[in-house]
Amino acid sequence: TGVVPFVALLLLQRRPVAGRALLVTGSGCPGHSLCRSNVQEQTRRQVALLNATAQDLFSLYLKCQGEPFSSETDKLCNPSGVFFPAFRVNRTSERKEVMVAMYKLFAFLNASLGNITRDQEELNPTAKELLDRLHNTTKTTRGLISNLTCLLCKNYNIFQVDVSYGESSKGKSAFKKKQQGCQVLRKYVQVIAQAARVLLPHLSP
Amino acid sequence: FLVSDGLVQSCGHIIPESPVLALGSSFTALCILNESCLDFGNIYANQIIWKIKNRVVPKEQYHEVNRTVSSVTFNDTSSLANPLTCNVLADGQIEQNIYGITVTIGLPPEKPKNLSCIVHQLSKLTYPMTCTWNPGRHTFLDTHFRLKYRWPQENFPDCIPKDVNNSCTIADVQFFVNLEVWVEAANVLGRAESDPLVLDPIEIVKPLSPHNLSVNSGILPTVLKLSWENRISAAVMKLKFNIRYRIIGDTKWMQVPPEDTASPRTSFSVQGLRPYTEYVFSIRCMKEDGVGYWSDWSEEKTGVTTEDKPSKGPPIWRIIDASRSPASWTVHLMWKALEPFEANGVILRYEVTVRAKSSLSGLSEKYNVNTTSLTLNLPNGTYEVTVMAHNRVGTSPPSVLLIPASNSKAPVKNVRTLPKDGRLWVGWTAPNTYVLKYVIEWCLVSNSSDCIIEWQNEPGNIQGTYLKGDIKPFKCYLITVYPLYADGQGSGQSVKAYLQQDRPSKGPTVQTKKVGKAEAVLTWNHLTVDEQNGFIRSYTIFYKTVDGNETAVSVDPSKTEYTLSSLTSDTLYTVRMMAYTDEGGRSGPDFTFTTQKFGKGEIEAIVVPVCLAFLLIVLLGVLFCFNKRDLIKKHIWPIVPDPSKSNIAQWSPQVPAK
Repeated sequence: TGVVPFVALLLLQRRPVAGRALLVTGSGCPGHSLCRSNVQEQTRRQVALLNATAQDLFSLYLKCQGEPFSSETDKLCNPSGVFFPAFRVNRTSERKEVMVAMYKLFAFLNASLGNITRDQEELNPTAKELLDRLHNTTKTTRGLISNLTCLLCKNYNIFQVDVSYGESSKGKSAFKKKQQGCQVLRKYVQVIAQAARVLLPHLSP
Repeated sequence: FLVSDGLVQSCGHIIPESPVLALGSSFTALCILNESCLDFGNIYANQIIWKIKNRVVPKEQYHEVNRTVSSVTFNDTSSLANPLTCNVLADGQIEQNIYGITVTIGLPPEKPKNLSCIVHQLSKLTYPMTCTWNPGRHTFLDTHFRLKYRWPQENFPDCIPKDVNNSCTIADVQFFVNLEVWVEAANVLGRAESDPLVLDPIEIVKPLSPHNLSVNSGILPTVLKLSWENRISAAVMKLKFNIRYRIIGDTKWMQVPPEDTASPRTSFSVQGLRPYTEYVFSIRCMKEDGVGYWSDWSEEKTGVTTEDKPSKGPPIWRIIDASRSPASWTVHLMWKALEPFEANGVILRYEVTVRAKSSLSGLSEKYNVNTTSLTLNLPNGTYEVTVMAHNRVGTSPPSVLLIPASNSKAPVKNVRTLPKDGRLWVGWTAPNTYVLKYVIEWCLVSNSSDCIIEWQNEPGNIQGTYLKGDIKPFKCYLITVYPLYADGQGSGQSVKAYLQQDRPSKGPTVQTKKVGKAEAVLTWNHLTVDEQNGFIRSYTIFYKTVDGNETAVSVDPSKTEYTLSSLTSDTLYTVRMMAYTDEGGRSGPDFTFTTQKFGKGEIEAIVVPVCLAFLLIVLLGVLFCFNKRDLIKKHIWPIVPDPSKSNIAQWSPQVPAK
């Protein structure tokens, strides 16, 4: 449910894809009446929430995949094996740059989490807690994308952002699916912590 | 209707068919005749009769549109009913029905109002949102409500209420994104939308209450530590808390000052508790900044504080029995068990010390008992008695009672009582000297049981209190007030009292002590205290003859005899007696007596003179007879000559000579 706007794109591609998100047509920011002054604080809270829950999500994912993922995490879940959007901003970067980088990151994550959730529903249908957490994280990223869209449109008149989505896991073996998920989530834990650090001064009241 | 080849065709029809109309609006219906119908019976539009149910619509409302079309207009649909029929008078003035329709009348929906929403946390990750609204007036039509909601860039599927029209629950909402919510109402007559509500669902959360509450005692007897688990992640929402607690068995809750628990936490130490007391705790939470709703109170959990040493010594009193010998007393020492909040634990024993103050050596005797009384035989004298209560932790401060050799100090004055609000109040006038404390003794006065003394201490600065025992109504209590000084004791001043009086349970039994011709001395016994039920204020004696009026006489309550006078002699009287308290009287049994025919000495006054007179007459008679004895003799005993001395005797030779 968190990735409805993007799944269609992913199903058609087998290699890292790029796309244009922010399906904005026409002038003005859509829903601008809902894009209020509290959206900065809301964005900060969402990133903090994702940061606070990322490690638990990853640990639970590993546990539910069983062996060899639990014992050979370093070997199997090396994030260098998967595409992940660059997040080359820091606290001193321009706020606009940070927002755009955030948008690219979470658009990618939203799609990836959708993939992982789909795969886990197939591979581990009884892992209720894992599936609940994946759904919850996906929903949070979806909400985060909505807020970032608000901020980019309202503050910087940015209506379009190029987003790269990574390789789809569809058609891969069960092991590969698990591994890809593991790699993405491991990278996610690292990047979300970085995002929380970077975002804080930009979104503090 | 036309019949053609076995099929029945309608001669015309009405439009609109099955309309839905707004209440109070105007409505026009057209009855359109078929061409074939005209051929059949020369039926034209001007012959049409409109009817509502079986009532003909006035012709003023008709309009002939053309040869085959007739219309009827209703300015206010509230006058419409079902069915609306188009009819015609055929040959022979027979009314034939052409067509009929049913109309539905209703109202368009009103704008839904008072939209409000709340997010109930169902589990750690599940947050459904329930919105409620006022659906407005009844429309009499099938009206559908939808709860619509959207983000700035995304619309969500409508929430459709189930079985109700004023609430809908969205399965799960996302925090930290502004959500616009509104209600749309629609029926065939129109649609209406409520004012939108814009909110971040994080601001309307009712979280689940904290759970797994545990209560632990520590070292301090006045502290209990609470620990719990919060069911909402701190990353989602920081919480503040309310903690309430009560003593088990009590209904009144106390609360930890909210400002002390206004920040995120999973434990708290509650202070200021009573030692060795069981408390019940419960906790609730809400968003730290106060936006949203409080959770329900958690499940209650109990904990017991640890013991502490008793906070005060038990109150002591004594009953002295000097009846055996004035030089030797039997002293019954008694003390009251400490209240739980004074005992601070389980009292294991009492330590009693008795010191003779008159003794130069100052030696004392110690006793350890686990009851609340001790009986000692002591020589007459002044004693100081100390009692201390011991529990597992320590000893209470000592309670001291001075037992002087005599109660020579100033007593209280003017002891009086007042029953009020179900309590028996006792008041007195304090003596001029400083009083340490007062002891109020009381016992139930009864013929059937001993006067068992109860007592209580009161501070020396008061002049009134109420008896803190089980004081029963209609029972007589003997109350005594003793002032206790630092160096002695005043004599007790007593008064009898009732918490509540009633009329006596039986009346006095009256009987006669002595009955005369015109008076009778009545006598009776006082009622027993158990029979009185109150203070006897007066007696009344009622007496009457069989056919006479009843007479009443009041008698002082201290008396046990009364003389009725001016009675009629030789008459049967019935007498009874009533005893009165302040609450009423009760009559005793009837007693009958008959007054005497003669008064005292009356018979003697008659018999004696009669006897004397008789005696006099007899004496006089005897004297008279004595004087006239010769005459009497002559008449009664005439002399009869002796025949031997008769002449005839002398001349008869056969008669021997004498």
